[in-house]
Amino acid sequence: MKGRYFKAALILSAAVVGTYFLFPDPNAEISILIKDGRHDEAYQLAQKSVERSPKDTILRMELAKLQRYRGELDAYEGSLKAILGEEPENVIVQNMLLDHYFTMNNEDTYFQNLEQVALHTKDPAHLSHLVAFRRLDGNHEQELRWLKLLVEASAASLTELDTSRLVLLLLKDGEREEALAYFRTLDNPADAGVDIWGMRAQVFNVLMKTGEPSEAGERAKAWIAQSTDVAGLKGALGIMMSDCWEMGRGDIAVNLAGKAVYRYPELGLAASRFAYKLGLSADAERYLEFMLEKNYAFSSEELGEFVSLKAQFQGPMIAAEFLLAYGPEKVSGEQVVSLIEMLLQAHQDDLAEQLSRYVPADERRFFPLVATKLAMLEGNMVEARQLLEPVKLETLEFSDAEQWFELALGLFGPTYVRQRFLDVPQLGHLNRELLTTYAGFLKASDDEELQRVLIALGGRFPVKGTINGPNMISVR
Amino acid sequence: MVLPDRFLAVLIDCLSIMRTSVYRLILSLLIVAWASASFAASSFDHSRNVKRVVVALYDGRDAREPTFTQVHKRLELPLNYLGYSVEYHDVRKGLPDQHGMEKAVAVLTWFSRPLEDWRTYLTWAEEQASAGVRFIVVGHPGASAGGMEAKALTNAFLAHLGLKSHFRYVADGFRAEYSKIDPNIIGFERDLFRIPKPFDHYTPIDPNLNVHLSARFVDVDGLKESVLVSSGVGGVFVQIAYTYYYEHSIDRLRWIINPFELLKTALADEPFPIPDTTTLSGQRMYFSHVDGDGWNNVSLIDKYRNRKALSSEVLLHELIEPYPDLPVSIALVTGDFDTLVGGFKKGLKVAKTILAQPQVEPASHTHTHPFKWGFYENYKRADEQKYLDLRAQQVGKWSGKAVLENVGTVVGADNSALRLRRYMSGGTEGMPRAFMRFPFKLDQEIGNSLKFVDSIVPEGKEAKLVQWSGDTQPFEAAIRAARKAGARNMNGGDPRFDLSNPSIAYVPPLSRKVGDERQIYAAASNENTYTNDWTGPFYGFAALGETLKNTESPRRVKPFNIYYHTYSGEHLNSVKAIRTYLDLARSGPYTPVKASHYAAIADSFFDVRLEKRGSLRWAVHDRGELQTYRFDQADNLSVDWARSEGVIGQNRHQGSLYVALDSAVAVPVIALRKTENDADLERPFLEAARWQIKNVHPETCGLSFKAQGFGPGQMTWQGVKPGLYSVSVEGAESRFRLEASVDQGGELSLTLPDVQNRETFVQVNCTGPLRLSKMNGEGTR
Repeated sequence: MKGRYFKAALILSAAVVGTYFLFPDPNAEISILIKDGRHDEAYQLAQKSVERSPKDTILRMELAKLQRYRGELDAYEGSLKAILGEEPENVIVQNMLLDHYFTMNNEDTYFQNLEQVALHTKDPAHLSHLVAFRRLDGNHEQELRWLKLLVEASAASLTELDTSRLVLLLLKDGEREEALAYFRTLDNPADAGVDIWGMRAQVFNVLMKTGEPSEAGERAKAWIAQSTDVAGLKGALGIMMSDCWEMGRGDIAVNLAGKAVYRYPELGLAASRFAYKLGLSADAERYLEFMLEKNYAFSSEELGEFVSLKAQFQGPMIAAEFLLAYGPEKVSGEQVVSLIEMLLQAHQDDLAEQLSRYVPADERRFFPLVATKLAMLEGNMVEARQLLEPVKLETLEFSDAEQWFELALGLFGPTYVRQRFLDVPQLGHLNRELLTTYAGFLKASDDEELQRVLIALGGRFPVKGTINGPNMISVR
Repeated sequence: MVLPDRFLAVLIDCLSIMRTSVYRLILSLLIVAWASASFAASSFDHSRNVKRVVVALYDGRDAREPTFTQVHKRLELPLNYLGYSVEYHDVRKGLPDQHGMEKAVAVLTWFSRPLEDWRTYLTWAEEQASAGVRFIVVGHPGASAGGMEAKALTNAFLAHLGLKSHFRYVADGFRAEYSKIDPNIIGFERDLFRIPKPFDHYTPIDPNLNVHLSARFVDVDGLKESVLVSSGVGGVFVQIAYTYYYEHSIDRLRWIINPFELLKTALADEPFPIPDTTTLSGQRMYFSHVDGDGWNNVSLIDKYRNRKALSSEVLLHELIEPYPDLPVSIALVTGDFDTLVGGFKKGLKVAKTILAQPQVEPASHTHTHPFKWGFYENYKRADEQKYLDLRAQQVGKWSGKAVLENVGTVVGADNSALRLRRYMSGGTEGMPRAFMRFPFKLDQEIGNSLKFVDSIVPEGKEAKLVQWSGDTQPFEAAIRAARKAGARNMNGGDPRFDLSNPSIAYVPPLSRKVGDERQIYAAASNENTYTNDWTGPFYGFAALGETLKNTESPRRVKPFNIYYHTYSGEHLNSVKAIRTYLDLARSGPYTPVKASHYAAIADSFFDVRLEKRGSLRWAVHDRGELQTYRFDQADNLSVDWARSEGVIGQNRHQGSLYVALDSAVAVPVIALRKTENDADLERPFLEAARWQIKNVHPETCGLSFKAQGFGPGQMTWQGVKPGLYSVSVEGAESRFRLEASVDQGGELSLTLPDVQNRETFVQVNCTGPLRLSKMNGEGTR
């Protein structure tokens, strides 16, 4: 028996080997030829084999590759398209064609094909690529389309920017419910980053405005509790607090700010600033006190802001006393000057003089108006004039303009003031308040100059307390 | 402010009728004083030369040299296109003095953060702006917002740009809305952001300021508006987020602003002849250059493989010999033939054959092929020894078979090559040059390499071009060495503008300034960037066409350049990709030149001096090899032949007027006139030619000129009187006679026989009236 089976097996093997040699596998032969670098022979064999077996996809793909190797690019593209015409689901050939279009750098054909492949395969890499390119183009409608498909295919593939864009674009387009639905699915409180916080701030606003403040509050609490991105939180905190206030929910604002400050004392200044703006002075003060309690190590800039806020809440005297005790040398000259200015306005000349010692002499020229006032206080009119003279009218802020006018009149007299204005070739660059004051100062005989002022003011002349009524002026 | 010509003329007239010398003196002084004041703010210097220099200031903390600045990468190309060159200053090393500012038409800054010494900078900037110098401010104005002095200085400076900063950052772009969008400036390559990006708050203080983009936002104290992009008499201002959009995930960008239009707004008070480096004889210039890398590699193409032909032989048979009408510059890595460093003698024979081809220009691609030029600026052999030790370890680890495989693609893997392999990079990542047996010597790389090439070329040929190798970032001394050896230099930049590089921002400027020297960039990228560093697909260079198309239209910013390496001869599809473009160059409207000629033209761009000589009239000085001058948006302008000197032709393309000068005239004068159309032609002029034309002499009935070029000399002349013409062509070794006819349109089309770039004299004489049978046809030959 054994011998019979053995014989049969032998005959069968011989038949297989014989068949193989009679009808060799062209694919294998082509592979061997290619490996040997005999591409021309491989190509001829592939051509013949495809003629014999026109439905053999593997052979047709081999032929296509050989066409590519020979630089017959139109034929290569044609072969791939022909296969796809019969087998539209053939992912390998789809990708070969896609690679070809990318290699050829033909934008139109590449994207047409990529879109087809992406729709068919739902490959996150393809979808992400489309999102990126459509975003690069600024085509937000297409970007949104591919973002939605990417979420469907693989939410995990979304970058922070993708998530933020998806939600924000929908919000911008007025698709509130859809935006919130995506947001609720995708938001992870532990996520960090500028884009994520930007999105959260806007969603918070929407939730507050659409009657879901509790969800807004709860989510914000979760973000504050779980996110480690203090910078992002700092940026969003102000927006969220303002939104709360706008919606009459100062309680939520205070709650959020409190939680944020207690977790991150460095947010105390920002929280305090916003609370103060929102009229929540007591809370604003509380946040500052908390920073002191925690012995927070202020930077020079932060200390300056701290003192400035303190001056606003509790008055410049208390702030000045605090600063004198804490160390005025720890803040910049500008911040000291800012406080001095407030003290001067509050007629706290003694404290102003005390603090003025902490403004280095060579820095005074940068704060000429305050420095002029200090010099006048000290009775040093020569220095006062020297400090005021270099001030350029073009650079004056609204509030400084009138101060300059007053100081210049006092120190130099009206002729000087008039000459300074005449020296400015383009009055249009000047502060409107300053110009208006100047116009009021001119006499009826200064008709030409008044016209120049009027033109600079754009033909409108909001004269206050003027010597010459607006009726006297006309543009010729 | 520009002194109006008409007003100046009236003053001069007054001067001439003044009777007393005292009055004349007073008036003269007044004119001089006014003119002096005007020049500071005008586009002209004291000699009425057109100011063409833009001073770019950069912060050395962000870019160690100008090459890495945003200005170089993004704005220098548009500036070059508009006719301006850029001079860079690192603000940390000082600001330009008055002498440095004399030729400056504007100052350009693209700061990303406050400067260390903002006080000095802003004080200087304010002084310059007060003197009338325009500023192009992209991004940060220079000072931090942290101090009152900084604020005061910033606003004093910005006032000249018609702006005021409120030192407030509007982070919540979502709730902002654009209030003004100027479609001429905004949305150039991509649409504006659907959700505005955060911005700083700036308001206009000049009622005449052109606000190109602005946004409204709600602040705690009400609705506010901020300028995002603006231009005015003082210059241009662009907030950083609104320059371009960068998509991080694919590392690609596209412009939001139109840099061409915005810079033009900022700089050009009136037209001037823009030195144009893309066009010659009225057509897009063509050149090709080859780096000799892979010279000795065995080709894998079937028909060459069996006989172990070198890639360089494939180059010869497939890409050079079949195209005698297309010049090509072949740059040898001379170490490839130096057996002492690891080269092979076999490739030398091929080199000699290739360089002997009439259309081939010899050039050097250095001797040992540095990959990292920076490594050799302050060279120490000890540093290189570390690499050699590493290499020795690698070689030591290889089995004999691996060694043979490693050098197996290289012919002549003889004992010497195997013996020296530890000194050869063999393509190993990170090695600083290819042949490292001997210490690096600059003379060897440049001067001696050129001399070696000279030693193997036929008489009459000379290597006059160095094509930079490796990272193409040569240091100053290397460029100087090339110049001192009497050679031009080129390569680098890798211009691409296609799907993979989807913005004109990826097209570099003309050159890279390195100290006092200048490196000329190639006008196209090579096959290496198209084939993933030669890892395939090897037919990738077939995509060159996209860049060719995008650098031609809507603006011709680069000539047609086919740039590749010898290793392209390894694969059939890489060879075919190149042939596609050689065929295009042969059949299309291009003017072929040698690569060194292009380099010379590009170099000349920086020397050209344009002297204004009245309304729409300029003398062109120091132009070197640069013979084409362009006027944009010039449909209503035409050459005024009567007032011009040394102008041989004009052509129109995409709304621009290209004016061709006669290289035989030392100081040509270009004059234009306003015209409705070109029908009122006054004399024969060149419209387009495949050859270079000079010594043009229009005659009563015909014209004569000298011409030379590659391949058949196709050319078109306009303004020729209708009739029959005889054309005689005389060269040193040839003489031809042709017949041609000109129809009522005045067009004379000629195709002169190939004279292999030898200078020929052409005489065109009328022989009789036009026969009716010829009227509708092209010129006969």
